[in-house]
Amino acid sequence: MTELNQPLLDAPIAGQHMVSELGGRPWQQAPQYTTVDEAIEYYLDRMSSEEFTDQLVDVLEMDVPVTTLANTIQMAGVMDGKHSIDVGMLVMPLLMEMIMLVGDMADVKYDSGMENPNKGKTRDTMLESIRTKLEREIKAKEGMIFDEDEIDSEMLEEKPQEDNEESKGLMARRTQ
Amino acid sequence: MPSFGNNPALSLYRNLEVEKGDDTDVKATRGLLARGQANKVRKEMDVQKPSVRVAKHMSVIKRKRDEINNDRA
Repeated sequence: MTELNQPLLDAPIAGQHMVSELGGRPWQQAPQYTTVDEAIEYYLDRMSSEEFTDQLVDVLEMDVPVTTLANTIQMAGVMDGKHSIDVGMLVMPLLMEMIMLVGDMADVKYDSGMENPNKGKTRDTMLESIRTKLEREIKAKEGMIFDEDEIDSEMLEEKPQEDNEESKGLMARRTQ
Repeated sequence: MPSFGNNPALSLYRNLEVEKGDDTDVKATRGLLARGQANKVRKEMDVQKPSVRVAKHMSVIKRKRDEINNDRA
């Protein structure tokens, strides 16, 4: 998540969407492939080309997650006006499976992107909850501690117990 | 590798695992003009739903992947 802290210098300028007229961009036109089957056929054709698989293997070797790749590919399809976003969303799992198949065939160790990246890391929320618990415990203990002066005065007020009484039982210890 | 924004791919993939269901064999119809059975099976398999269609395609590719991985192991 380091990228979020960096300034987005390639972000669109405010009002940029109004520069071209409506319908001037491919994604503003009617999509070329309207059904899931057509989109699948398009992608399977594209992904089975040698040029594409070679590039894909290179990218997978760079540890780019499969999920990110699939999302990028379908987004590019939407931007090119090949299909709608809806069809892209439906097709995306198939793209993931295809990318993983290419990776397996090329014997590449790829990152599927399906593991939780925060697994094993300490959560900020957990640290915060522990801190609050500790604070509560400390406060509770502080309430239980008495003032030393108060304890001394109480001790002085107490009368010392007299142990002059003789024990009467058979098993009682003898006092001299 | 950091993720670029909110990627829906993971949840879509997991949801489609549910849609996949069991593999069912489509029996061949007897004659050229015979009808009904294939349509019936198709209806039972929910193939009309696009998500199920994608899931079926996925299961084929996944089976192929498993074969490759098993051969290697």
